[in-house]
Amino acid sequence: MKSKVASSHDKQLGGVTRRDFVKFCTGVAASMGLPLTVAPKMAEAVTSPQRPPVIWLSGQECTGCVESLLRTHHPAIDSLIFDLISLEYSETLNAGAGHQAEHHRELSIEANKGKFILVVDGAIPVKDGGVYCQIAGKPVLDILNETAPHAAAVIAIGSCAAWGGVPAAEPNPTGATPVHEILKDKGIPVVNIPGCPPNPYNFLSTVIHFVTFNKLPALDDKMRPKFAYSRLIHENCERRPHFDAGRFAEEFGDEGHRKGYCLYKLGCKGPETYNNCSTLHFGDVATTGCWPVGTGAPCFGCSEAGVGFDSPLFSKARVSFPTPPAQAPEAVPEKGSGAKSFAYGVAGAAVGATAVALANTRGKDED
Amino acid sequence: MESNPNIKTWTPATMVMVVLIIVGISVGLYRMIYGLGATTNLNDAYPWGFWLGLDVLGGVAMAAGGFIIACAVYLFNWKKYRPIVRPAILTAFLGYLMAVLALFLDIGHPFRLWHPSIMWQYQSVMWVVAMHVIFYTTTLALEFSPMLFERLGWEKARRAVGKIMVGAVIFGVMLSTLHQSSLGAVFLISPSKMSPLWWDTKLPFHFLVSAVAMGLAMVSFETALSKKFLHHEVDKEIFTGLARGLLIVLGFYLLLKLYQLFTVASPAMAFDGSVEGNMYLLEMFLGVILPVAILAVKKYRNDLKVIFAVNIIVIIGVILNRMNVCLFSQESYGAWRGLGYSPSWKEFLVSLGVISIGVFLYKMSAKHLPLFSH
Repeated sequence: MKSKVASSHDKQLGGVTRRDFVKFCTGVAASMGLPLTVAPKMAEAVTSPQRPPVIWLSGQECTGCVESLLRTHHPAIDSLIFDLISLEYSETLNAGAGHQAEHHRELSIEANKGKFILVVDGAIPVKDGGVYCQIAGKPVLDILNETAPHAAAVIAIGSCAAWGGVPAAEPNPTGATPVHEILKDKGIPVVNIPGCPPNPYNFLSTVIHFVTFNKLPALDDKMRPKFAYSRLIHENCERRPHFDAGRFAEEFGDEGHRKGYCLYKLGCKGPETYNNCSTLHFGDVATTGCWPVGTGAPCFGCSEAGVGFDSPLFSKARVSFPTPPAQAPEAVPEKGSGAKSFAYGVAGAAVGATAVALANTRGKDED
Repeated sequence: MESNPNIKTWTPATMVMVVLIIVGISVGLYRMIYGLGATTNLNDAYPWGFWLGLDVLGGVAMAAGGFIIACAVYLFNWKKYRPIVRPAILTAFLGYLMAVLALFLDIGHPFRLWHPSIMWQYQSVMWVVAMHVIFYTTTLALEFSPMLFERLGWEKARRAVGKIMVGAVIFGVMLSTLHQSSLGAVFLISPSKMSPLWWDTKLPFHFLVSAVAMGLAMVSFETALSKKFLHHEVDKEIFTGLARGLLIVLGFYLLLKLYQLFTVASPAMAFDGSVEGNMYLLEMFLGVILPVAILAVKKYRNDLKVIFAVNIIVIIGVILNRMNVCLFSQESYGAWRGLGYSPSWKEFLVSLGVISIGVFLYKMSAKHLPLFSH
């Protein structure tokens, strides 16, 4: 089959130019640590006429994960759901509504048995038979239990789906439960993409990896993709040198905070949270510091079970790894501007002294 | 017994100096106990700061008058300048003592100051500088000693020194020219840090020539001060002669600097509005062009008040040059490193104290030693 991607350089893929699209695939490959040579393969896979069907279920959630996915531009959500995947059902993005939408979900599950990707956002309440979250009069617990066995892969997006998140916070009145615990009995593996919201590209990369290679990316013991969750935020944090040198913001708005010092003492949970926020920033603006710590807000550990929505916001994080002593040389020196002010101070003094000296030449010579 | 009883010891200026000396010594002790980091604002981009730029580089340049006048009087036998040879040598001696004092405080391990004299590293310009300081300070002490021996009445010792005086002066002139230029040579190591407006392989010559100008201006300046405050009468001809010498040396220096500006740097760099460019323009205008322009007019060259003002301007200009070479020529590098420097108040106080010690010792010498005996 002739490659659809390579066939014409000016052909547009649903509003995405070929150039932009291959760039996107390259970016995805890079962010997962895959060789760049797989980028064309990815492009083939996601543009094949057999677009992977996706069914998106929502439990106890705030739609933040979907919203953040809507804000991606490489590709934009429209090309994602119309050209790259076939979004069969999503409460947020459905064209139809009510029984029509529910009916389409059932049809789609039937038609794509064993082939579709099931994405779940939001925790699933199990108390009292799951009555605390119902869709079309049916507990989402039942919907999940019916749908999951037919899926090719289950992806839990967001902290709520991955480990409970906000709905599961103490005292957890609805019995909110993460997806993987519900499906554990059935032996269905669930990929967790925790975060509140997670970086949409971590999700996209996982989906495209699956579409390309027909298998999931390497996962850690908590079923999180290793390419995104194998490192602590603290390890790659741009403010790490300040931590190592012992320069901390002591309170919000103080000198250290304004100078961009480490936020550890303000309760930053970077040292105990596994995520790639410090290397893959948000809002499609690459490396401009568009992420919480970059804007001066301490990480609150949203993606880490037992940290986000659990430990107090301003309590200090447990630092797992020993750090170099404070007297180690600084890697990124404090911002400065040479000796400019001192130079002009000296210049002013010199001019002043000269003026005084010249002014005193007036008057009669004594000799 | 005093050599100049008409000099009053306790004047308001002296009392201010004594206070500054006490404060300076206190901060100096603080530096000895708590170290450079606690006392100064020095950092990795600016390891040499205010003390080096002003006290060491400026102080040594100020001392150049000593070897010039000693050379004129003892070697060329220009008798006209004999009345000022002792003040000039004293100034040089005190200038070097101040530089050594500042250096002592400025190096990381003060009590290893003597190391270069035993541990020779003759591949290093720094070692050359250190040896020059050691030898020339000793030579200056020798040239200075007749005043002390006269005062103490040690006639034999004075005559012994008198016999080797010419040899000492020759040695001193040799060392001094080498030392002034090797201070510039120290900066040859950092072509990538310094702006080409200053950095040049000929930087040692620039240092030597500007030091000669500074020396002439300094001798003339302090002779005028001595005349006014310490009542030391000297001929007008000495001032006009020094002014003529200053014009010649500064004119030559201007040519050197212009040659460097056009061959190594470029005039555009001086006018690009950067800190380096602005400081270069100021240094050249104040320290070189303005004095040359004033002294070129014969009427001004013979006007003592104008000469006095020009001397001050030249001294300011050369100090500005040393500060520029040591600090401000590296502005771009410092900014690139992300480091800034402006001296801490402790650095200022120490510098003030060191300068006050020099001035105070000069005054005490003028009062108690036969400084002006012809």
